[in-house]
This record gives sequence, structure tokens and C-alpha cells, in this order.
Amino acid sequence: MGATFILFWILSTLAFAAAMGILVSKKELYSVLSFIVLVFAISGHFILMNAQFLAIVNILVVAGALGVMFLYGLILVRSHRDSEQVKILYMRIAGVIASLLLLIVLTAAVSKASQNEVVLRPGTWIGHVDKIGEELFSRFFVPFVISGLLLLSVLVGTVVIIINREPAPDPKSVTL
Amino acid sequence: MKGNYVTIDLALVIEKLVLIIAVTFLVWVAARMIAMADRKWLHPSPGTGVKDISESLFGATPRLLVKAAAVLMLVVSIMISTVIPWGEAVRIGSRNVSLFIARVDIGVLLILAFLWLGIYGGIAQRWSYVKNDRIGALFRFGSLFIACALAMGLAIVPLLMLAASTDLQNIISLQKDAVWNIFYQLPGFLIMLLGTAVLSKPSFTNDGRRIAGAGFGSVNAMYNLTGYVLLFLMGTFITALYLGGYEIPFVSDLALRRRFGVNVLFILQGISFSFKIIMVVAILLWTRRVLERYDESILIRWGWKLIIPAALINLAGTAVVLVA
Repeated sequence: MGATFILFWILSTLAFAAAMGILVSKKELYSVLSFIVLVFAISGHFILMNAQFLAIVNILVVAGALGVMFLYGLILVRSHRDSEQVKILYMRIAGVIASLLLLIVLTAAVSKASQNEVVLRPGTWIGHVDKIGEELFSRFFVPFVISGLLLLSVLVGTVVIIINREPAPDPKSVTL
Repeated sequence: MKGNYVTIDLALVIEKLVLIIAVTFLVWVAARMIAMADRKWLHPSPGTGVKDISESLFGATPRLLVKAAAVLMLVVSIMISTVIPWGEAVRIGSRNVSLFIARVDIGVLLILAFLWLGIYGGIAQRWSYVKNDRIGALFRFGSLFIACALAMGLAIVPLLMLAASTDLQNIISLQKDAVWNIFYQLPGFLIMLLGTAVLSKPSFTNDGRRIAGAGFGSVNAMYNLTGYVLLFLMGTFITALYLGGYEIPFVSDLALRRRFGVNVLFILQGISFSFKIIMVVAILLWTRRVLERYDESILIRWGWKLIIPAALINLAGTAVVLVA
């Protein structure tokens, strides 16, 4: 239990610090970097719970692809408006309401969660890639395919939206 | 916290951490030494485009971030070595010691994830060193990186379909005393070589001029060294995937093991593996040097219009052959 216990607390502290960093940091870029640290800490928790595949996919998709997308989005947004912060009152109120709703949903979900403990011994294959592949292609086949179709339609839609636009302003004329 | 966590041996964790930190520290020391040598014997040439500090996204001091990105890239590159099996086993005293740091059944995915994370280092590097047309440089870098990483991911998938496993140890043992994967997956092998050659290059050309990695100082040296670390480890990875890893060609490893024992086989396998890695790394270095001559935009065009469709066709073809 020793090492697991220590790792659990290290990872939890790291995750909490990173989550605070997302909220507190003034520069958006540091928020994105804190987000990546948070993803790593959560992946560490996944590994502790023997879900290696989930941990790596978390790093690959969320920290890799999603974080990069955030970063490039920020760069583009930043290059098109002034660096002063936009603070609108009703946006803040909407943010507070949305956060409270999320908090309620999360609390309800956690309180309803089953208390059954899954005992993992060396040699069990729960959370390993073979097992997840089997489940994805048997029990969860339809949701899997539907989510794939959804992503494909998003891709096609993006291409349709941008294909007939006038060319973007010359990047050299944009000043940061 | 009670039953549903895997118990991990504390000594094992500490050993791995010490190993990784030691290697990282050694590379850092090498970077400092290079920087000292630069200051002592070389004069910084004008026109490297360094020392431009942006205050828009990073705040006033991005130097720290650039250093952090350099360290991140280095650590992430070195982490690749943890899942590569370096040999079968070695017998010390009465117990067999296996020659990999961590055997995870997702070794291939882990390496891809760590490779992908290098994009942050590249972004931070370009952000702080490119002087004019920064957005263009960032987007060109992102486009090139994603094209290469995506093509490499697509190139590995048919191999995983052949091996039916994402465990590197399994993939190597399937090639043992059998046909190497390169004979089934030559296009994938070539795509991996090209992608590694592009991704491990710390400095892409920008406006006909080298950017970071061409300057002086320990950060630049670290970026260059990271490129070489990545080159070597990815060369090892490619060898393990396509060229049988530590397997000895033309003879039966099993017969050798029965005849000479584990330790002699370990030495022979080490020689075989080293030889293969040196060959692959030599090809990679040569490819990298050649690709340096091309403009970034040409590489991007090739990546998206040639390499990725080729990888997709390879994937579809392998699937058809496997099912049929």
C-alpha cells in the first residue's frame, strides 16, 4: 500500500494545483499548460487504478490533440483582438450559473456512484487494451460507430464551412 | 483507496525514477558543457533570429517557459526508453533479470503519446525564437508536426493488426526465428523513417534561415541533444517494430539459448540489436540531413498529400489482406 498511497497523494496534490493554475493564471497560455499538467495527473490516477489504456489515450487525445487545439485557437483569437481582457457582466453571471449546475450534477453523480470495490490482483485484465477492444466491438459497438460518424460529420462540416470563405488575412500583417 | 488500487513496489518506482533522472541530468550536463564551449571558443553569428521576447501570451519572461519546454521535450524523449525491451533476459546469480524498465501492454501507444507531446516543446521554441511571421511559423510547424505524427500513427496500425498486440515484447517475439515485419510492412517502415527524420529535427527551416537550435547557449544545445536522443530511441523503436529487435538473424535464438545459456545469448543479442540500431540511425541521420535542404512548405505538402494517403492505403490494403 505504501507506494500507492504516496503516489495517490502526490498526484492528487498535483491535480489540484494544476486545476487552480488553470483558474488563477492571468495568461491563457499558462492556463493551457496547467491543463496539460492536470491531464497528466489524472492519467497517473488511471494507471494507479490499472487502466493503462485509458491513461495513455487520455494523454494522447486530451493532452496531445485537444491541448494543441486550444493553444492554436488561443493564438488565433489573440491575434485578432486586443490584449485587454473582455469582461462582460452577463457572461460572468452565466458562467457562475453554469458552474453551479455542473457542481450539482457532479455531486449527484458521485453520491449515486456504487460503493462496490473492484479488487484487482496481478493478472487481472480489467482496463487492459484487449479487454477494452473486446467490449468496444461487442457490447458498445453501436455507440462506438455512432460517435465515429459524429466526428466524421464534424470534419465534413468544418471543411464545408471554410471551403468557400475569402482567403484569410495575410499572417504577416497580423501583429501580436 | 483500499482494494481497488494496484499495489506498486516502492523500490521499483524509485529505481525507475532514479534511472530516468540520472539520464536526464547527464544530457543536461552535456548541454551545459556545449554551451560553455560555445561561449569560450565560438562567437555568436548575427542573424540567428534569437532573443525576441513576446509579451502577448507568455507574459514578460518566456525564457523560463522555453527552458521548461526544453526539459519537457528531453524527459518525454527519454521516457520512450522505458518501454523498449533491450534484450531477452540476463542471469545474475540465480535469478533472471528482464531487460526492460516497464513492461506495459500498451508500449507502442505510450511511445506515440510521448512523441506527440513534443509538439509543445516545438511551439514554445518557435514562439520565443521566431522574430517575424510568428503565427505563420507556428502554423507551419503545427501542420508539419501533425502530418508526420498522424502518418506515423497510421503506419503503425497495420503492424498492430498483424501482431494483434500493442506490447513491444510480443511484437519482437513474434518476429523471432520468423519473417521480420519489414517484409510485410515496407511502406509503414519507410513512413516511420521519414516521420522520425522530420520530427527529430530540432530546427525546421524558416524563411531560408535556421531558427532555434542554431543559436548558442544551453537551451539550444538541449534542443539539439533532444533531437539526437529522439533519433536514437525512435531508431530503436523502429528496429523493434520492423527489424525483429534483438533477434539474431539467420540462426535460431532458441537453439542458441539451449546451447550456450542465457548470458551468452544476451551478449549475442546485444551485438545484433546494436548493429541493427546503428544501421537504422545512420539511415535516419542521412534522411534528416537531406530533408533539411527542403523548404518547410514542401515537406508539409508531401506530408498531407502523399504520405498520409499512402499510410491510409497501406492500412486498408493490410486490412483487406488480413480478412480475405
